[in-house]
Amino acid sequence: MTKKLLSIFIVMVMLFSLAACGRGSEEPAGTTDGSEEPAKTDNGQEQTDETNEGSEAKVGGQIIIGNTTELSGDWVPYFQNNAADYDIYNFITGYSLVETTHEGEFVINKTVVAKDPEVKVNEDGSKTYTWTIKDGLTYSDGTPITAKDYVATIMLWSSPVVGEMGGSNTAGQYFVGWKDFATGKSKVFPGVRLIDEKTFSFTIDAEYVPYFYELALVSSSPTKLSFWTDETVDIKDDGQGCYFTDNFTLEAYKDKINAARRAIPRPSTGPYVLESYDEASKTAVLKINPKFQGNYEGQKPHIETIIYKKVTSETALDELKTGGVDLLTQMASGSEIQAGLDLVESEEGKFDYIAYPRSGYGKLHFVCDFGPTQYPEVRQAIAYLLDRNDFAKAFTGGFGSVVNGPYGEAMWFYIETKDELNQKLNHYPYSVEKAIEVLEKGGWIYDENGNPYQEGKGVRHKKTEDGKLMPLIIEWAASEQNPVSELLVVKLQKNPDLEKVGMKINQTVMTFSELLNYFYRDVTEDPKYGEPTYHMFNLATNFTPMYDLSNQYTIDPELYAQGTNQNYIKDEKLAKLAQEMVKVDPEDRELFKKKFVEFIVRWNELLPDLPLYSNIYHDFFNAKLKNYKNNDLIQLVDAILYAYVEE
Amino acid sequence: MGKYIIKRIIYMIFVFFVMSFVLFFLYNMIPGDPARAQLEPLKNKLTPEEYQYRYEQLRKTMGLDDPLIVRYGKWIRNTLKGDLGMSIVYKQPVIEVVKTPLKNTVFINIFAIALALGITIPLGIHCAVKKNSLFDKTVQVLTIVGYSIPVFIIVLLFIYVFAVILQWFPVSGMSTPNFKGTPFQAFLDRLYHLALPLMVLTVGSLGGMTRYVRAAMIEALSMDCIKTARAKGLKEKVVIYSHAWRNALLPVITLIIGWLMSVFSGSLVVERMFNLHGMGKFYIDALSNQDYNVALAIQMFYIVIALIGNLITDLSYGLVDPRVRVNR
Repeated sequence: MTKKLLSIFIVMVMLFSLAACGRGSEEPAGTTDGSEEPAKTDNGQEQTDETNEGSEAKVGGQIIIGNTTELSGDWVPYFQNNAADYDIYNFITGYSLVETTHEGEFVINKTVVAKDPEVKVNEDGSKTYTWTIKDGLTYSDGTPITAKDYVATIMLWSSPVVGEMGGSNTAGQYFVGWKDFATGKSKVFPGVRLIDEKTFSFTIDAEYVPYFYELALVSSSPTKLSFWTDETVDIKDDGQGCYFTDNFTLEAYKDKINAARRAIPRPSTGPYVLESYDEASKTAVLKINPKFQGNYEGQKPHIETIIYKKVTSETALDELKTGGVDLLTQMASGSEIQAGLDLVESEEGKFDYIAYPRSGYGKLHFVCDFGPTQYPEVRQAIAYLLDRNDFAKAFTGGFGSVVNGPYGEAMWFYIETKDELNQKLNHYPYSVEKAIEVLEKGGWIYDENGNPYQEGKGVRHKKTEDGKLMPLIIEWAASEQNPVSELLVVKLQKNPDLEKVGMKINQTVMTFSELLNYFYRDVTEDPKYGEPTYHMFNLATNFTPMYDLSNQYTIDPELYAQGTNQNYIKDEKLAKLAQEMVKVDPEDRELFKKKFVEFIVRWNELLPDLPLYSNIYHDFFNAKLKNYKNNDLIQLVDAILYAYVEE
Repeated sequence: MGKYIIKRIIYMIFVFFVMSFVLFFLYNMIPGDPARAQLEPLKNKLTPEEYQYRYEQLRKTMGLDDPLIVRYGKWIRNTLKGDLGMSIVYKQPVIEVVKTPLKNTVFINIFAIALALGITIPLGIHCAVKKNSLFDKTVQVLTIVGYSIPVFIIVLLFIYVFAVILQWFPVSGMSTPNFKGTPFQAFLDRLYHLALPLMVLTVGSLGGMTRYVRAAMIEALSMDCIKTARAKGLKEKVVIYSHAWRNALLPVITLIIGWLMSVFSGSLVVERMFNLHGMGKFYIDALSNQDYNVALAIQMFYIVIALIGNLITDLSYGLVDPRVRVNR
């Protein structure tokens, strides 16, 4: 018996042997000591305004940020669109001419700009912004920053070399002459001028002015050209516009640019310097950039070291609890949020959280140029037949809300017009009677034989202009393994009231890429995709602080044919309002708000989309992190900049 | 023997080309447009004209406008030259992006396989020798339980017990972020991080192999030659390890070589849950991101490994059992 027990013991010893050899190594960085004195903290919804608190805090400490998106190690957003890499990019990129406030407004960065830009409207209608930067700005490696560095950003990331490498060369897309320069037709970029060592100008093409977000269009941050090329490549301006020296070619610099995308060390202009990246563990380490002079408010970072690592959603909160990470951002799933709140409550004082609304929503996207969904009454009837409050509650676990138009609840112009919108917008409460009413108003009053429709018997029909009967059958394309689709089946497609109303919804499940083919009517893969097939898709959308939906609802024949108007909605008033909203002077906030309200009211009536839920994001963090305030309109670095660590 | 190996290698080349053809066509039949998928994130940043221009350029660059057979020809020619194409996600040559996950997987699997074989073979032999004893019955029950529980559950259980409650190990990761130390300390740090995944991998593989070895040994121990050996008065250790184990090895060797070849293949669940950048997760990510150059390269690599594994297995039969001849 002893031998048997010994055998079991040996097996167990072998299993734990590796564990034992690892105990001698250092404790994981950032491990939370269980004996840590609990700090008294408020939860996010009760936080007081302490914006400047960070400026008095001591520099030091370390935080580990966990993200479920994995870093790729490609640090510029011109070749990829990875959200985690973009966070790192923002940590190491600063001194932008124009920055975004926490409310999503664009402001001139006074830390960088010596005086407000000189603005001149030219004879051809284009508009020139002339910038003068301050002395004393440097990269993290000490190299002085000059006007050429600001011009280099627009030039390099608009160049045909980058375009031919498969990167995005649209940095100067709103400037005069961009298209010719970006496609290699012209060597000179007339919309970009290098005037002297501290002065340069950007000229917005007449087509884009006036524009409410002009400041965002004429912004740039410094790029050290020699890092991407070498000392021999230069930017010159002989009076007609900037151009590269002739040695800047694809053949000569493709490899150098590709290497620079991932290179470490790299010159930083942001609050942090990228110190290392471990590809095996997908972890990046950032250290404070001592040369950084602050953001538009002069705010400098206080947290000495930032570690950015990948976490798995299933164990993310365990990582927070055990000190594997100190900050988890934008948690959206109801079960995760509930577990996070339980953690904050059960270990009082050790953890904290903030909550903020998502700037976007999940939606039903209607196709408005064929079938039943071309009629607003049908779209409205669908809205009445889906209890969206119930849907949002079920999907977000109670951590979400319902919006009635294309906006995010944190946007400044929504906040300032909220009361007016609430009065004017139809909230589409669940109502079978209203659904029937709008359908009857829209002419859906026949049965399949053209006789008056009798409630609950088959589907309704409408006599179209050519005298044919159109059945009220909605074809819905849903992507596979999508929890929204699954919930929509329960809450909408299988809703018994649909039969009562005389509507039928057929669901087709497909891969997301195939769904995109139908969505874009992309005939390059197969002619079948060009044929309008589905009336409805369930998708999601997010808004950036540059709120411009003019292309999305355009009726311009050329743009429409190119599929820019993805709802295929041809409404003159909606298109006009979307245009007018952004075609206002940047200073005229009141007019912008007025146009915004008019646009939203029209949109709410037409319902090209039906917003389903807008998440309330939750950031959970170790209570050692102080003065941390985030929202969906700013970048993570903007929140970290004001935060500090108190051990 | 030499002739046999050459014949097998010719077969392998044939199978390789057939499989490459089938896989290439299968991947290209999946609905979706890789050029569209690649450009989709940029859609909001581009003007419609620029989007269309870039889209057409991209299709041209990716060779999507060529007929499928032409594309296959180009792909196989480049593959044979060692150029596996570009990853559309990482925008780097496939050969570059696959290096790190492959290295990680091999590192993990060497320990996992050594541990698993080190435990299962002696355990299986012991159970067979002590057949129907309390120890044998206990191991049988435990291996059945271990065999039946999905790895996903084992992972969550182990993380909860060893990382969250006891806090002996980190929840995930391959090394301490921002670790500073000597290479040896870094090695130990890596082992410390990998201890929990290794425990899961080992526990997950104990059941099957232990039962297999036990069954093979029981059969071997009942052979006449074993009775003769015992009748000759040989020591029990000699009977078990020299005579019975050698006979039991023949069916077991297929499994053992299969395991050894699996050193290159990652465990999706374990890698995902412990955030290990290994081949299993990397392959699934490539598939879900429609990064077909990467997925195809990995698939072809596994085909080569499987073909070599089969050859080694067949050759090893001859080495283990002189009655088996592989010279025809």
